[in-house]
Amino acid sequence: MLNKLRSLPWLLSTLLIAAIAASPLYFILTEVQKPTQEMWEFISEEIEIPADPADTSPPENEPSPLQNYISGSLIMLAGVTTLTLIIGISTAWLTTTFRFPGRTTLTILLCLPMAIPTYVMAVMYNELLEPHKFSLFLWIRDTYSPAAAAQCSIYWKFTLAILILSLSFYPYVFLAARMAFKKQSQAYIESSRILGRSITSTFIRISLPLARPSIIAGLTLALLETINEFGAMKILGIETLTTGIFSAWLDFDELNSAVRISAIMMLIIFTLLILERLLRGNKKFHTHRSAASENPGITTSKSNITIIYTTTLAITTLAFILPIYKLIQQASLALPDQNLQPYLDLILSSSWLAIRASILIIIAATLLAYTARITPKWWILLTTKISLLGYAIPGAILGVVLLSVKGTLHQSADSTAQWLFHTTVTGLIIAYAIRFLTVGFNPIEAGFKKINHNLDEASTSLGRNKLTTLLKIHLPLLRHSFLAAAIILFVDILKELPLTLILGPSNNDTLATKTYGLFAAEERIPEGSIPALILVATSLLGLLILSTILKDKQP
Amino acid sequence: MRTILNKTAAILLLSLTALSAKEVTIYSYRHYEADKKLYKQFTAETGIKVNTVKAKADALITRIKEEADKCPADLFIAADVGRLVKAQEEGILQPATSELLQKQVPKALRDSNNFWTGFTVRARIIAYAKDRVKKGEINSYQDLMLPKWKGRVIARSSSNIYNQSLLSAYIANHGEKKAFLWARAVKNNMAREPEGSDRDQMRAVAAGIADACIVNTYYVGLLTNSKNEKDRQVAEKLAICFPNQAENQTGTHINISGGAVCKHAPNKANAIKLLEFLTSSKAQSTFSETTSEYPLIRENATSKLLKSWGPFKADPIPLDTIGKHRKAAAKTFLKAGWK
Amino acid sequence: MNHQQTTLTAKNISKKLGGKPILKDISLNLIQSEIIALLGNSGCGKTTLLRIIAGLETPDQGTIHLSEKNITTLPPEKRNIGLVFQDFALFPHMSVKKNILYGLHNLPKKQRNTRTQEILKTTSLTEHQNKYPHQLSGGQQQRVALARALAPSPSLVLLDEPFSNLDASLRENLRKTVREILKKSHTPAIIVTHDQADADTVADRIITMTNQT
Repeated sequence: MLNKLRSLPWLLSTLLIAAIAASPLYFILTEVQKPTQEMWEFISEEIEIPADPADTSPPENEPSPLQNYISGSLIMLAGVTTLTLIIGISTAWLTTTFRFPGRTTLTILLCLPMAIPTYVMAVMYNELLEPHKFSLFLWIRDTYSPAAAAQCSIYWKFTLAILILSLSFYPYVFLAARMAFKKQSQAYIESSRILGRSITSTFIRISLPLARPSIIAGLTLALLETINEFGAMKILGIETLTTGIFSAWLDFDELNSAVRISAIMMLIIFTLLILERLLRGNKKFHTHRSAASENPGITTSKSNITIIYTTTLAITTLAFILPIYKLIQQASLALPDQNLQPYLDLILSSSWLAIRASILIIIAATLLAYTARITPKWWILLTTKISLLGYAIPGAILGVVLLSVKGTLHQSADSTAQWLFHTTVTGLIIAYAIRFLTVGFNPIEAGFKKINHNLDEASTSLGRNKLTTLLKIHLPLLRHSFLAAAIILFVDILKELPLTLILGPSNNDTLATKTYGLFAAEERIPEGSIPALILVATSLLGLLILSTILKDKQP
Repeated sequence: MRTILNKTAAILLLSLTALSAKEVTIYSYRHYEADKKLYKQFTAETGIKVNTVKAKADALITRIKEEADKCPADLFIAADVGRLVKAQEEGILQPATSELLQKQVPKALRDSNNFWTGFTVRARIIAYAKDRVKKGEINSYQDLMLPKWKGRVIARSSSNIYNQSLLSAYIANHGEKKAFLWARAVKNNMAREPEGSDRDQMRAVAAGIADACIVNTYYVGLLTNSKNEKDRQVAEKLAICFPNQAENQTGTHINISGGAVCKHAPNKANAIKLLEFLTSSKAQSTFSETTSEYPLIRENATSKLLKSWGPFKADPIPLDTIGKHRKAAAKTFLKAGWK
Repeated sequence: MNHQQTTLTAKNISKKLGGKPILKDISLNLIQSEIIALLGNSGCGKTTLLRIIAGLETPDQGTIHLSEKNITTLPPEKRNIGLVFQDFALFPHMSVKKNILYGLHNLPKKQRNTRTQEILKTTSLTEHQNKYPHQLSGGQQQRVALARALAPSPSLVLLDEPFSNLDASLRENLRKTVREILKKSHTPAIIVTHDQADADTVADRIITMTNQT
């Protein structure tokens, strides 16, 4: 009993973090119960086509804007699922099953697309493909019909969007699958081979099923990003729930309508998460003893190696080299006339913002992970999970929700609340914290798990309380985890768009919003390519540092 | 005694300098590099520094409203009257009385209650492919409804403010029902779903995707005078028509870029000074050359391109009326299925 | 410090772990600076009893008194009882010296170094004091664990299977060393082991424990 009381500050901190992280959901629920606003019926109701007196067929209805948003999001989800699974799993399998020269380089190359924001890729591909888009349209119109050509435009849009998002997000699946394949015990694979199964058959029947939980987790990340995507969708002209939220809030100025759309989006996300749980299953896939040593891979024939290289290089070219080439080309058009001084300030202010948010997140994540470590009760673990929900709440929703919370707080004239939001930056940092808590939590929790509980008990037996133990024992041992968390957080926050567009201070750009503003609002692609390039360079730097740290950690 | 006097003088001096802080902050929907040159000129003449904050995702009005008295904006500039009227309705503006403004800006192009004033003019016209459409084949917005244009028309998204103002004017002139029929018919004639910007429409028409599109006049100018060879080639292939010029017709829809003083502006006087500058003949004479926009008095346009287009009859409907119908326009577009 | 008067009395300790009763009504007495061994096979609850005495677990029933004071619900960091873990649990990021200093925070600053050098001498680790745990042999690591537990002069030190992580060839010597160090520091100790030889060599008195189930 007394023990529990002493853990109180830790428990309270976890509860507080969970409450803050879950508050957007609560807000959505309350807001949805209020009466609808003016434009809602136009958004949500099907469009009735007035009966044409000349037309004897019964009047049809066209889908409502809301239905278009939903189908847009669902199509994107389905397409990205298919493509990321194909690309991610195949590349992961190729680079873990086989051993060949240059494997490490190829692996790093395959991760690089994470450095390019989706909206940048979208713009670059638009530029690259426009003439071809026109040619295709004209050919279909002349070969078939104008109606077919119009339809073709729609297919083109969606295909391009699915391609771009898949090329951006497959690394999530790639890394997850890779980790699963590597950790898999040689013993299972060898047993399968000895029993007469080919490599491919072993893969499909053994490796793949065993890797399923990990792959599903990676896929879920990719899908959460997909449903959250705003910039690329806007640029490519695709209507999704996220663009609908922006539209309701910006075009119609109706917060309630925006929140309603958010509610529908959250339903889809929850379904997604529940599906993930179910598909991951409760099976604990035991790792055999021999999994301690890493699977070095089979050596294979030259022709196979050629296939591997061709596949991975093709993907890297599409996902990284091509966009970067176009980006540099565009930027070079604008560079001669540009004064680069403002960009220096932009780098500094964006970085400083990302650093501050990262620090807050790391502190919160450490509190959460440590509390779960010292009081592993079921309700603490549940509360911890709730705190991590923020990642599933898309940036647009978070922005819109926090905006209204801020508005209500302003009106309540509560001095602490006012102080909390007295700068818009504070609100933005809190929003980043809610959204990216998971990203910081995962590496830190993994780090904690590697520290034997004996060390905690040794410290306790030597008379130190939990806080001192955390500070003197755990923190030094978590250095690598903190660094890894810090870098991933920094890169993610730097690239973040929808949340920053809504909540960021009006008179302060980040590299991301500046890029988007120049691309989308001002239609100045060469000029926008400059901050875009800086953004990509910074992310690349972060990713490369991260991969070096992670390599060093191998004993 | 002396020290007290000195101190008081120092404090007074400091507060005076603080009061007459030589700067003005603009929150703007305009995106032209040319504006920077104008502001520089303004600073050179008045010593007032100009800070600009540009819209990224069209959220400026909401931002200003929510930042309230903490918002540093002095001047709100919009590239469309609809936004100016919305800003006024949202209560983020304050009236700015200035004799100079009243003199320099025609009555029709500023708010009757002095909440906002225009400083450039643009028309929303129809651009068409010279090799596929004969001159005189399209004469009005209503022409685009005709079956002969099926699969030959394109336009940008209805969420764009320029289209909304166009439809608002249509509603003001002809009523919601007719506006709906127009929007519906045009949408049915589209070669593809709305995508891209005005310039994208023109590029598509040049490439043969469609034969006619609805665009703002200055975008034609931007393509004609672009540094990019490809853009100029696109402009070469197109001709424009000022719709609805006939006696019994309403005239071509025009709109303004305009500015308004923000309610909590810390530097109100400087904001008004800037507006006066933008509407002065010196600044006005630059617009047709730099941004291909019409000055407030269209006949004064100096650029070759604008001169080549000749005079046109503009829709005389008061601009603030247009602004008042924006919500109806948005609903009508949604009902018509124009994405 | 003189622990001649230290007594530990555990009365009627019962504990269930995961629904299964591990300890049923166990009582234990440690009298005056002796070393006792809890000898038994795995599952007999000896480690659990040790952890209850250390304060890392609370008994379902029963009491523990340390020299008249009821410590049953006292948190582990307040009990002043030393603990040597089976796998030593040395802090990998701290040198031998720092590991030992870690538990001396209650001593006035000036005394900490002196005490550290003292215990390093007692455990013959002086020449290794700046090394890190991964640089030491198993036997050396064990001595560090012992030194660290003894440095704050606990009223009692508990050792959980202290030799099971070591090579059989070392064990004979180490048993004698550990007994020597404990006796030199006049600290009463409870050692938990499944090995008869451990118990015979190190302890003054052996208590055999059998499975309670």
